[in-house]
Amino acid sequence: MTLQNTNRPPVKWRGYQISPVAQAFRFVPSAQFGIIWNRPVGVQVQTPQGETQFLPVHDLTRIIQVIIILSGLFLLFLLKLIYKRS
Amino acid sequence: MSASETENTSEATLPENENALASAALETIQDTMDQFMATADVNAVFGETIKHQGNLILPAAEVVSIMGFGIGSGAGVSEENKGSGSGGGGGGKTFARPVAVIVANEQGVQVKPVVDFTKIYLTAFTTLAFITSAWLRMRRGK
Repeated sequence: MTLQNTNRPPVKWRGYQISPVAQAFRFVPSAQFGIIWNRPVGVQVQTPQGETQFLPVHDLTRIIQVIIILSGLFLLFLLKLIYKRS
Repeated sequence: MSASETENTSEATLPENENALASAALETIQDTMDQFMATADVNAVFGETIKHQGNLILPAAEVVSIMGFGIGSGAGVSEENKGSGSGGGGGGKTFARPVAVIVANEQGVQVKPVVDFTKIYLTAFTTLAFITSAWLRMRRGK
């Protein structure tokens, strides 16, 4: 089981240097089976002035999905509490 | 050519065919494994850059790859059943989902998220159905 960050060589555009960063999670327990989950982490940007900044890539769909599921579980917990008291 | 000669020829070529089949199977497994490992590369996540109307567009996606295969062989041990055989099989699937688009223009570099509303609606409806059924069960049990 490994977690590895990989960079692509920077793309130059109007003085900007953009270098994408991805993170790969590998789970290969045997030679016969394996899972690889690769997701974008962000982009390393170097401005024409020479400043370096990191812009993270957020998976908004996943964040909203997790919020919906957690809200549902919380609501269920509240309903259980109400029914136990009554 | 007599019948016995034909039999001998087929017996002589059978192991060669088996070897060729085995090496072809191994090559297929190796190719599949290479393709599977390529999923972990940064180029699987970030697409080719697109230049459009003074903008540089870089698509980003989440990639999940699952693969599994197995091989086996066996032989008969009794006097009547002396046959042997081997076989294998496998399968895999790669899922890709767009996550964001990186746009570079005169204003600078921006990360614009891609929202999949279908997935969000499905999650919301599934959660709602789960809560409703649990609530109904609680009411009945009261």
